[in-house]
Amino acid sequence: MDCRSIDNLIQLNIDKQLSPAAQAYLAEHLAACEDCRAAESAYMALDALLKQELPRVEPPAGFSAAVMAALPAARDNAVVFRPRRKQGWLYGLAACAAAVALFFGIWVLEGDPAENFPLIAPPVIAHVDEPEPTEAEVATEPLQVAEADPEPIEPEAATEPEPQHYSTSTELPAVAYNSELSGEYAQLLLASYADYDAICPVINGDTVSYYTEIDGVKLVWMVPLNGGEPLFEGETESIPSPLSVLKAADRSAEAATPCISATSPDTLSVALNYGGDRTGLWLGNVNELDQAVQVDANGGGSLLGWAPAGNKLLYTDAAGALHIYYIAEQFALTVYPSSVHSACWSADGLSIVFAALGGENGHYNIYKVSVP
Amino acid sequence: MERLTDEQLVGLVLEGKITAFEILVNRYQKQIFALAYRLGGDYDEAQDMAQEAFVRIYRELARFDQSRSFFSWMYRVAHNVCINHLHKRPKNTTPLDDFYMAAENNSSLDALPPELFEQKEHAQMIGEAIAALPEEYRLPLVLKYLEDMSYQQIAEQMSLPVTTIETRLFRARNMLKKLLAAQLQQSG
Repeated sequence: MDCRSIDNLIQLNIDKQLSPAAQAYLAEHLAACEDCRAAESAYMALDALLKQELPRVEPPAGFSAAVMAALPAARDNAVVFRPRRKQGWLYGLAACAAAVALFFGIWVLEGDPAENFPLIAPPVIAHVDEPEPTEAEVATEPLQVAEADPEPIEPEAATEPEPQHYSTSTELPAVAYNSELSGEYAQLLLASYADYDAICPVINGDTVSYYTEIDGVKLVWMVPLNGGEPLFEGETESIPSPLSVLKAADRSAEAATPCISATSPDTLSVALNYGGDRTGLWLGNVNELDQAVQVDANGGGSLLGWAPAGNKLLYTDAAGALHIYYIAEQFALTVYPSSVHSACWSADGLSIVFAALGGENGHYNIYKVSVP
Repeated sequence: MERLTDEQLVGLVLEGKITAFEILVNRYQKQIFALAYRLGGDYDEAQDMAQEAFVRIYRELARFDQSRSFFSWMYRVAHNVCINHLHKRPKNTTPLDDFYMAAENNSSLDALPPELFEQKEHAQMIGEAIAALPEEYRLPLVLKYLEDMSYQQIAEQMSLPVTTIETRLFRARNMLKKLLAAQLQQSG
């Protein structure tokens, strides 16, 4: 069993972020591994130390009453409250119910049902390189006194650093890889960087492309599917989103709950990776989606993808553990225990390449696992 | 009414039901107060700033875009209020953020008021360790431990995916584990 991935599970467990299945997995590993038990003790001691030493304060008794007492004076200077019509929270609730009803309601679909969801805009390819907010976004303007038309308070947008041009003469980071399988699921480490994340693998034939971002510059690399030295390919303007690689879509807005959907290659079935109250993997006929059934209790993650032959699904749960579901066999298998960021199927459906936390570098690495 | 979502409560407040705002205050007073204390470093001043923040939130509620996260909007309003308040204050108090920054320059630690920490030496080492963290790792850690935020709330506040917050907390803890190895051995 790969102990390098257990550290993250331990921390997630301390923060109560693990699903029951992941907790059971962790408990089973800890029962058998003294080193990981020691690591757990260290993390728990650190957590206790931070909670003890970081100063925490509670507001004084009567604080909320003092706030409420200050409000009538504030009301005189408030923006005029426009009494909402019936479109108050009841309307909002009805709108949500209607959206869910539309999502699961009667539909006659032609073509790819994923393209015919009502009120759905085409999936947006999200770029991984979201600007990182910094403390500099803290506003420093004087407090605006509420006038008849005060300035709206908007979060300040973080500015993206100017990307540096990456010439071939610039030293590239060293990349590590293995030539042998390791771990319980016999994963092969394809690429690992000491200080950078390697993410969003895409398989093209017998090679894998993946991406890193260094000093604001996006770089694409290639590595043989069966392992070998990763090679730098060049700069790129964008990194594909994990969902676009898997041909899946985020339907959380329409479903009013975390939801990723993916249509089978033959377009007859739809898979749904739900979070929230419906957490799990669901399958349904594209023409009878209201009859969708839950096939596995693991779910709630951000990934979902059909194998090319349509006989298997990969999906993640809330902790980022990677699972495979075999449709005909009605059987689920855990492939990697946590923190999977992105993944893709090989053309023959016998391999999955994914980016996950797992090494001591604390960054996302690229792994390949063979699946039956 | 306590089971209503933030956005539902906002709707009620805008209809004139002020008791709904009291529920929001009770729900988030701890976190807004912790924010004010983290920025100001003074308990009494934190009361003033937190109260001012809630009043400001109330006054601006009609401008809240209900398609967005209320917590994120509320937190940013409160943050702005606190920062603006602190700009006007005399320079004889030490915000906690300054403490963490000052920990990088050891000499300034001796000047800190002793009542800030009971065991100054112990806390000093932890403060130094936290200060040594890169900013993108320190902030989620502080938000989690000082302000008791969930992963989701931290993600909203930093406009990052939850998985990124998970990664940053993971890295922050690993760094602290190494920096505080001796401390952990004593307490373990």
